[in-house]
Amino acid sequence: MLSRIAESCYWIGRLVERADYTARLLDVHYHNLLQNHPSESAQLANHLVSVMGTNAGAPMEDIDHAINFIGFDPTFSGSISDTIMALAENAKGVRDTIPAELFEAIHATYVELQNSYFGENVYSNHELFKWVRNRCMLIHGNVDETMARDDSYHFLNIGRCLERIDMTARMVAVRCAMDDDAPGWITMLRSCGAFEAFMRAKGDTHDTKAIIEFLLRNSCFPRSILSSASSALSSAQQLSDSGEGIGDESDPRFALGRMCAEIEFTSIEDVHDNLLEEVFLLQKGVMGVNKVMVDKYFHHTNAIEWRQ
Amino acid sequence: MSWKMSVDHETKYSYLKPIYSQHNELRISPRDTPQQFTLEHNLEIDPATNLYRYNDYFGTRVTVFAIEEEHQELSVKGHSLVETASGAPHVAKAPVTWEMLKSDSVNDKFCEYLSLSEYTKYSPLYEPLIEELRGLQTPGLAVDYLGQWIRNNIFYQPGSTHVKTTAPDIMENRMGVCQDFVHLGLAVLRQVGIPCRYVSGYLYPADHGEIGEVVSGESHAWMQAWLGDWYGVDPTNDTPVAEKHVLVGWGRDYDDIAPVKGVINGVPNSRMTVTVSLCRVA
Amino acid sequence: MTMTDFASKYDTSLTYDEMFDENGVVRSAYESVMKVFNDLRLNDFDARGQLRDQAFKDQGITFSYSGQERPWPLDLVPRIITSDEWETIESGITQRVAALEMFLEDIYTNGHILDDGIIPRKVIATSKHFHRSVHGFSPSNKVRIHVAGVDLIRDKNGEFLVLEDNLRCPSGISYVLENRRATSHVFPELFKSNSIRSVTEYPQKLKNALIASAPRGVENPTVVVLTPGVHNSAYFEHAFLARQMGVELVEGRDLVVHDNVVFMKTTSKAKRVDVIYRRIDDDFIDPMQFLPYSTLGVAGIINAARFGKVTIANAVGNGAADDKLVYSYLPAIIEYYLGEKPKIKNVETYRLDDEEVRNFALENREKLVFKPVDASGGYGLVIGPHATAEELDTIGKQVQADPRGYIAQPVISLSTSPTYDGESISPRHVDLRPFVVNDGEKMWAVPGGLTRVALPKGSLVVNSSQGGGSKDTWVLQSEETKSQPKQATQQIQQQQQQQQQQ
Repeated sequence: MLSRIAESCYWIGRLVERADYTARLLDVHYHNLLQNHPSESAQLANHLVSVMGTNAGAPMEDIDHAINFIGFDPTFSGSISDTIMALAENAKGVRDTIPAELFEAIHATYVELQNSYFGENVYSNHELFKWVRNRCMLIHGNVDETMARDDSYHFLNIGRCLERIDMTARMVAVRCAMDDDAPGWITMLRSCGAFEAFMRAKGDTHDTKAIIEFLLRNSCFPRSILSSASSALSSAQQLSDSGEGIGDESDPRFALGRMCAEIEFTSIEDVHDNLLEEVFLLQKGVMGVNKVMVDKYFHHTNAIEWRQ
Repeated sequence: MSWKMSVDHETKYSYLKPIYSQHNELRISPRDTPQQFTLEHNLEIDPATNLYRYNDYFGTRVTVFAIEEEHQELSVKGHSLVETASGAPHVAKAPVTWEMLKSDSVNDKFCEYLSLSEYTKYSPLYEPLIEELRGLQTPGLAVDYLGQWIRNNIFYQPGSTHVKTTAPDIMENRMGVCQDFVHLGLAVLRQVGIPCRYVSGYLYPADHGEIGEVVSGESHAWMQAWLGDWYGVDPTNDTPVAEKHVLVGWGRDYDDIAPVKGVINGVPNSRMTVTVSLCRVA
Repeated sequence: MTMTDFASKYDTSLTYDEMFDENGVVRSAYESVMKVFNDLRLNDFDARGQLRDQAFKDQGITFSYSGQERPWPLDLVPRIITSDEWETIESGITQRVAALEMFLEDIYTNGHILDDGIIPRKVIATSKHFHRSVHGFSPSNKVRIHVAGVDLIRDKNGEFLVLEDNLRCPSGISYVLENRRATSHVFPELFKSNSIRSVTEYPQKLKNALIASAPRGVENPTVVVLTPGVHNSAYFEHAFLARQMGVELVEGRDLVVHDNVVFMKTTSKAKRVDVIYRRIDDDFIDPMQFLPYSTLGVAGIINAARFGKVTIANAVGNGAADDKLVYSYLPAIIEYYLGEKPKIKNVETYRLDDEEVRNFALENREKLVFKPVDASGGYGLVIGPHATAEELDTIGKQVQADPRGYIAQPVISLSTSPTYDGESISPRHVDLRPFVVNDGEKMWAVPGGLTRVALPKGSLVVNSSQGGGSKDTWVLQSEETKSQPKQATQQIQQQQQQQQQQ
């Protein structure tokens, strides 16, 4: 398929996941803060912003400030509003390739967000975040139920799996920056939508190692990092020409396979003791796979065309 | 006495950052005319790539090539051996009259060489000069007069202009390089109805051609005016257009005959050096 | 109120009306339509209109107007052309396209018509669309006009006249097909009592013509549709045609030229492209030859065509023949290449680059229409009788500054057709754009074409970008089941100088 189309499908996957996780991140932390540590508002605000990979140009005063920024600031390319806009742009470009219902689901999300308020509390924050998550679920549902499992699906899936790994890693990083106590980890689990699943699986919220292990490699939980990496690997497998071996680092299966192996076979003790570093390695791994995807499939040569 | 001359032209580009690819057309190969014959010609491009050739609308030899791998430098080397004739008839003696130039057939046949562009557009600053030219007895004398006027009134100053400078700018600022001198000449001559064209090529700069001596020359521009036939005129130098001018091609203005034209994929920050060496071999 | 009620109030004194004659009697071709509409009430009409709008919106059949996406404005009263009228139209437009093909071949190679003085060299040499970068070579099957849209109007006597030729990227065919589909869904009764020639063959005919134009020696040529992208106002049509022809829709950034061969950037091996049906203007198609800042095109694509490795359809440079000044020379052009008189006349045209003519035109400017020679979309028109004093003054100055840039024509009162404006059915001006496909051996014209309607009352501007609408256009079957497609009357090709390649 055309590289441009493949790349747009990939980015649709990444952006849906990004919007979803960002909404979860803000929602859960906001309410936890209100309930438990209202005085730490500025500290949390700044941590959230830095975890999103930016510094917003100026320190955050309080959590509302951070929410407005991460949620809706048009100058911040990771903001929810910006992410959804980019999502709609990508969908428009592949409108004829994806199922009509999927396009509609994305397009309607964009239009509705445009028509409501940015940065002012017409909806309560909670309602808005919930709305975003529901729309993302709808989009996921359309992907899973209406898309044929052809190349466009696999590019999309790789995108969303990579983003999921990256965002989960960021969530853990936020957690690391806070005090080491149980409520922080519970908040973390909730951000990932993993709280109930964890409780059923392990139940002990004081066992941080268990929580880390769960998020990292529980194979039953679909949002664990290992599950995501495996799903991406299986899609990468589908994309490759049949019979072609994995070969070298220019193949996404190489990096993904290695990621899966490292996740599965690292000791949890090591991970727990070096959590921040592990998280950073995961993010780096995602960037590495992204680069391989670009080099192998998306053929980026379009910078600016200039006359001599 | 005709000359046999070798011309070696090298253009080098070096880019600040590696660029992904570029597509180019070169117009640097001498063409054959009644006054000039090409004995040898070859081009070398580095990084190496396939070359394709065609003759364009104006009959200029064009070489097309593309570099499609990452690179940070480009070198284009052209080598030619040409025979150039001496003794061109002097433009002041051209027999054509002003009346003849007004005919429909001249205006139709040479409409392209009478048309104006951004480079050769009108400016009221030309008026005094236009009046003087019109007062001369024949168009041939006018062309000769114009060449001298430009040499005497426009100062040769490299770096004072850029590739897009227009004739009105030159008339106002009174300085430029050969490309600008020619554009001004074309702009004014077209106002008085004399068909004329922009010529690109190389100039052997020394007064006497020592056989075997390699001299450093330049990529040069001059013009031709149609006065019953095409007469070469060099508004930059007081050298008759003859054996020392190696002709590559002509057009309505610089855009039609730019030596290198192309697009780059990547950031265009680059440094360019051009060296031209000529040597009279016979 | 029903159709009969409107018919009695319908004013046919000022124009030739498509449906009603000068006595207000319905023309025979429209009788069965009249019967169907007779029994309809206005709210029936409204209801069907809403059905149509909803269907268009759901399918995304919209167009840009004032920066907004609106459902395509289709009027439900069809426009009918009898089979006799169509025969005249078809033979006239194919004659024109045949002559224009030979004209383009000539001016881009030998220029005999210029040497012979039939048309002043200046007209071509100073045309903005005469592109020297495509001079000196011919497409592999000599076809440059794969699709033409010849705009026709009808004067007060009901005679068809050619208003202009569109030889570059004529658009509107998707609406012809969608109008037919929508009308048949919304008004099936109309189709039961009329025998209408089908238009659905168009995508296949176009595809065949494109395949026939592929570079020599290529088996199973790969055809693509090249679009500027989703933000282009005609994107719907680009995607529509790609889908209907079963070919890939690409943008400039999907293509790359390697050794003068064009390739598509895909996720596996690069795929060679042989024929490009491009809907991008010449100016944007190759940054190496034209606007260097264009990111819509493909660097090196014109040389790929020059070296015979790809076919660009419609060919680059066709604008030299659909310039409105060249239009005024069409009768001479047809005579020169075909030895025939035009079967459909031009609208009388004043060439403003001639001083005497220009003075006359400017003295009578309130009675004339002034048009820029290379405008499209109805922009830049100054219609004398409707213009303000200021507009008349401005056009005078513009013409004096650039006489080659304008022509003038008498104001023709275009024919009208009953059109529903939300309150009543009343006359609105219409034109007709039939489409001709040239596959190198035969020319085929879609029966009917796009009828455009000037929606504001009294307006003569039919273009959709300025608030126009359209109608489903029917050509009724004649007694013979089909009329034969016209043969392209191309004479033996003039000798062509092969450009040397060293």
